[in-house]
Amino acid sequence: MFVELERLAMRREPVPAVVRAEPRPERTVLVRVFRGGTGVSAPRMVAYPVPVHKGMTVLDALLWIKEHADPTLAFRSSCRMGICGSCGMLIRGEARLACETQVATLGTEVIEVAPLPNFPLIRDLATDFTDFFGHHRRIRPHLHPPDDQDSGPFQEEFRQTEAERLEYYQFTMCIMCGLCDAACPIVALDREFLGPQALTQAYRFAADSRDGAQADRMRIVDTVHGCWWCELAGSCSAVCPKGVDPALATQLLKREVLRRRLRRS
Amino acid sequence: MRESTLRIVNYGMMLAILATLAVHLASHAFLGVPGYEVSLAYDTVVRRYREALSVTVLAVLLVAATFHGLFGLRSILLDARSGPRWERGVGFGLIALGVTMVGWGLRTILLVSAGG
Repeated sequence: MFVELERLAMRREPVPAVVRAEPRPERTVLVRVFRGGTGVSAPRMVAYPVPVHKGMTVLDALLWIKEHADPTLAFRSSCRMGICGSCGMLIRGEARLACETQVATLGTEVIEVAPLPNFPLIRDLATDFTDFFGHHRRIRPHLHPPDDQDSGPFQEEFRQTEAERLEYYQFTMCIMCGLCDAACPIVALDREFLGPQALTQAYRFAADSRDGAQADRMRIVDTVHGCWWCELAGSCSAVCPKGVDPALATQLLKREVLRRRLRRS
Repeated sequence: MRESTLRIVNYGMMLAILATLAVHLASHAFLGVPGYEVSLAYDTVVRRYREALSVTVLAVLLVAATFHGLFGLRSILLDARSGPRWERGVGFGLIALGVTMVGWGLRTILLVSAGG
């Protein structure tokens, strides 16, 4: 492509404003997408034939559909590289990130894409994350100074050993994509349940030696709709694209809650 | 009451069930008796259920099994539906049921031990 641009520049021909570098399509797959939403239109599956090339992801297919077939298709995406967590959806019945799912790895000519379950539907593949973010905020997801710290600027840095950091480091990888909450059978039954993502972050901060709000956080998770409602289905850990292991975090959180209760009594 | 407190009590009840069942089975098999033939004889059974140790084991087993069973039922009922009214209703209902079961069971144990 760059050689071609150079040739055009040397011949003093106008360079096209938009230079596309679309790889040659190898085959066509049928992408069946859930369409519709509350008060918009009746829910239905709509099939789009999409030309597929090597390395194409499901997100690429959806962008192709939006660009060439149906600009009204609604879905979320941003980074295209598995960091932002925006493009979570149900792909062939499994909660996955569309940008990290290559069409070739699905091994099928018909790909079904639907919105994440356990989230209220807005339209097509876009779901409402209000409750999800609300549960996250409830567990106070930020470091609080220790009780003996005077209010005002910190007097010295928080020191932490490598071992202390490794206690919670794995759980900092969460990108809040919502796949774990979508896969959780308890979230499906109980809208009040904090959910694997919030519980994981509660443990992330509970295990952080720098945090001073652990007692408050334990009170929040030590409820009927808190960590005790987890029944270790494990589907949250199975779908997590970042290897965070929310099921492990929730069990460690239960242990931490019990340890503090027994220490106090 | 905090959920963790209920869980700790439940774990204690589980251990109590295991301990009392072990004593119960042992007392029928070999503890103080030469074997099942003697331990299951009418006179032995009547005598045993008037001993303080047997009465205590049965009472502890009754309370522990009732708590453990109803705690499990609570989990099932709260899985079936959610909401503050349902949760309160389940809580009060199971407490009432548990008190009734333990009360009736203890009455039976005490009547038997008194020879009634």
